[in-house]
Amino acid sequence: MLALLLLVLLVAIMWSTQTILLWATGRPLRLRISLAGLPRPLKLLSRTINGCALAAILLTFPILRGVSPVDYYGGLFPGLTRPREMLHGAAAATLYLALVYLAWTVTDNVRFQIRHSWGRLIRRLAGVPPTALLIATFEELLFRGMLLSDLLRSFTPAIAVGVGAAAFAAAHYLRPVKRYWTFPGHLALGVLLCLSFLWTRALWLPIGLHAGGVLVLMAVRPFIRYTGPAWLAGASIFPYAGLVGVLALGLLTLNMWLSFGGAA
Amino acid sequence: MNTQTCSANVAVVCDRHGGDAAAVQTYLQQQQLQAEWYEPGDSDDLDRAVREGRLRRVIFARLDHFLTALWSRSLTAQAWLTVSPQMDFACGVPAEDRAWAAAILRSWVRWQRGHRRRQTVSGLILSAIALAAAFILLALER
Repeated sequence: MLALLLLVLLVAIMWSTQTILLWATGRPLRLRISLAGLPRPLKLLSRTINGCALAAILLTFPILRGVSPVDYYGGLFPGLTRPREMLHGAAAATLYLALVYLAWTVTDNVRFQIRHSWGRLIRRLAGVPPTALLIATFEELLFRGMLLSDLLRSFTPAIAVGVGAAAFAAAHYLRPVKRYWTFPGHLALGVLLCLSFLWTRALWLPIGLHAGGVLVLMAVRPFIRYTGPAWLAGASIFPYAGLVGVLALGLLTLNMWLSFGGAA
Repeated sequence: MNTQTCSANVAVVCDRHGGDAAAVQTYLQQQQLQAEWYEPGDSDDLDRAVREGRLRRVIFARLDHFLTALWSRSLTAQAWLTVSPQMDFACGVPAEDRAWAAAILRSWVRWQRGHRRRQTVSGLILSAIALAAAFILLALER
């Protein structure tokens, strides 16, 4: 439960930072966490403070548990041969997403077209691998390394995975988003990542799956236009949130179970 | 989207720096209009503006710009029928009725050719990625 409290604290810090910045610049306060309307330097300041708060919470959690952060997080990245789980996860996520996009291309549910200048495209694509790795690592440290690990100490695995996945999905909707129907997709993704952690008791596999997915989604985004129905094919960076995408996540979870779970 | 001095409800679809820009400016002057400018590639923004009822008149530099957006489903045809904005074409408009059909067919053939090429390239790239990922997975299973 300590991790859940720390997550709530993180949200409170994000909201307080935003409130102070809005108040200092004479803008109306709001309940919703959103940087909209703030000048760019203040947005950057807010992001920096939130990043520092996230790092501080990640460091504080093991200390409050009586373990040094190095020992705690080091324990989540075990062994000399285990890093290959990360490659396994990344390859599996890439394979599934490539097949989904391929199916949508053949059935004309997505269309590929170059929407930016080559210079802008190259700049965007160059930033994709490090961004994917960074996003995946931080989110996995927070939601699996800290939250799920802690939930597993207090609850049965089923409840811990349910709560962990729900918290992960809900976190993607703290800020205003364009679409809310993607929630089941985030939930299915949360279940996949939580179970991957549960079965391996390490962060290699969840980080690999997460980073592989983000990598493909971000790399494809500048080229793609969805023409099919959103409920079927998804939209934007959420091909996994359409019906077929959610089913694909279910199958990928089954694959991970066969490789790392009870069947392994 | 480029916004010049825009008058309410009128949009122009034209490349500001392209060969048709002068003809479109002349057309606007003749019609005594000021308009919001959209690049031909900005059809998503244009479509949104029409769907939201912000545009009552759309002036395309060429018929082909409209047709290309239509073929690529960038325009929501049903919404355009419902809102039914007035549509004009500033230049390159076929003079005779018969020429319209030919112009539409030419545009369709050109778009189809490009679409097939894009589909082939994207299919090849996605297949290569899927095969590489499958290869890695199988290699790791050993």
